[in-house]
Amino acid sequence: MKDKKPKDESKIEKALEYGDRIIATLRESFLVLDKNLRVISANSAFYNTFKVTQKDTLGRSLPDLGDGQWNIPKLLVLLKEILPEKGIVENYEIEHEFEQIGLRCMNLNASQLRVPKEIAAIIAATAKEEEEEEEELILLAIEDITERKSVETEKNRLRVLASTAEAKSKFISMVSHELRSPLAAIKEGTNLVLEGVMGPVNDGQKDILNTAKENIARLGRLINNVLVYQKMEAGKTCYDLKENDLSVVIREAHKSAMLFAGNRKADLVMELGNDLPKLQFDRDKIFQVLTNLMANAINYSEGGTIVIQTRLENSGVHISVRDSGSGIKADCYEKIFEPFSQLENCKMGGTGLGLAISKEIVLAHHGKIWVESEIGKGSTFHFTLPL
Amino acid sequence: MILKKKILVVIDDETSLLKVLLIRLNHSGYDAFGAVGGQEGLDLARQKMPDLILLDKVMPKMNGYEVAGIMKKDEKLKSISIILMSAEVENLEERARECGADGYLSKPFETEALLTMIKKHLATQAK
Repeated sequence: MKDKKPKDESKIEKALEYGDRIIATLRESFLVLDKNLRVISANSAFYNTFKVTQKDTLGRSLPDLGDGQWNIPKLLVLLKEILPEKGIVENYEIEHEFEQIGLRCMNLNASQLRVPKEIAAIIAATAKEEEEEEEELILLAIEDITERKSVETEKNRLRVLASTAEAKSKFISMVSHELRSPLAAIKEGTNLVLEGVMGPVNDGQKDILNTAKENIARLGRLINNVLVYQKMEAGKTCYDLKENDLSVVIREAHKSAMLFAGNRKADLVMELGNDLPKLQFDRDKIFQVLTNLMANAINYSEGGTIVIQTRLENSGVHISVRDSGSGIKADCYEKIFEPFSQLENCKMGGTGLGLAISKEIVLAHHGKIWVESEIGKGSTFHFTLPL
Repeated sequence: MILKKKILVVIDDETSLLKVLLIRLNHSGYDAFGAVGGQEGLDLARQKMPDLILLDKVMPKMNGYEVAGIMKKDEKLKSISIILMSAEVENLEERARECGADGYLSKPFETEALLTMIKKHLATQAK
């Protein structure tokens, strides 16, 4: 018998070394605890992750580690209550703020292991006085999932944002549909009365009905612009970039603006550079920018002269629309390009979206748009289209 | 010689638009009749055998798509011109083509645009 024991012990030692090697190789933190939660064994992943030394770890009770930093109530519940009952616990998440390494999110697997007393004595190097034949150990694997968690949180946040944007866009198209339907009936009804289909209309009534008609048209434009702007904001607008002659587009916009001016006296002067090269741009969209700027100029000039200029510069073509209106306050220079800026005391009339849409279009062409103004003398809107 | 008036049927669940459109169309020299829903519209079409139908796209129960689909499969109704009307702006032209409509109008439309479109489609039929 005496001869046999060392042989057995060396077998046990080999088995223990085998176990230790496995633990040491793990990238995940790993602890072996005795039933009093004293640390019997820990791997280097544990020391590295939680910035503790072997000296301060082995043989000490887990809640005492790092000056009580491991005294985590949720962890003690796992080890003292849940584990004894279940024997094995997987994916137990704990969040804890450590002094040295900050807030960590950990995913734990724990399992109970019963080993013969004499083996436990070798492992734990303690003599047990209890009568039991077996000693209970706890295996605890700790995965640091802090980064994965933060990525997941970010992903969730983006998902929520995307669905909010989608809901907003869906809401806007629904609302615009609901607004257009009654507008169709109002428009046709007003026209019927105005034309005298429903009986004679006197001049005073005609005047009121014409005002109604103008405002119906304005409301229609506003609804369209809300949709256009929303689509641009959501990045769902396609640009048909083709080689175009800017001067031709400006002349067409001029014609359209004159129609818009209607009864208002507007004197639109064009000073177009004749050396303009052909440029790549979306014809309809730049036309929209131009008619927008011209319509604004007509609205604000009250009969004064409006000058539309183009000039070739090093980086591209510079277009300007100068009015002789009352001018814009300096603190509104930026704001007027934001949607509904009139709500912030920067009244521009129109639908409140014309300049915001123009800005989106110019930016999409990699150009710039800005305004210069002098109170009492007028404003000049500028934009550039790169070569 | 008295020219027989062209018959039009307007199908729209919006009774207010239906009302003003019928006044407009009758005033413009057509015999116009209205129905407030898809099924009613199909019944009216079978009864009146119109030259052209103005059809709203978004309606409860049976929408304009379905009405157009049924008409285009019906031996008696399939030759009637359909103009699809909608307050939606997205791809209305494509939607109209998909369901076999001959033209489309985006609500709210100009009276002029409405009358021109009707005239154009009636003229195409005459040829």
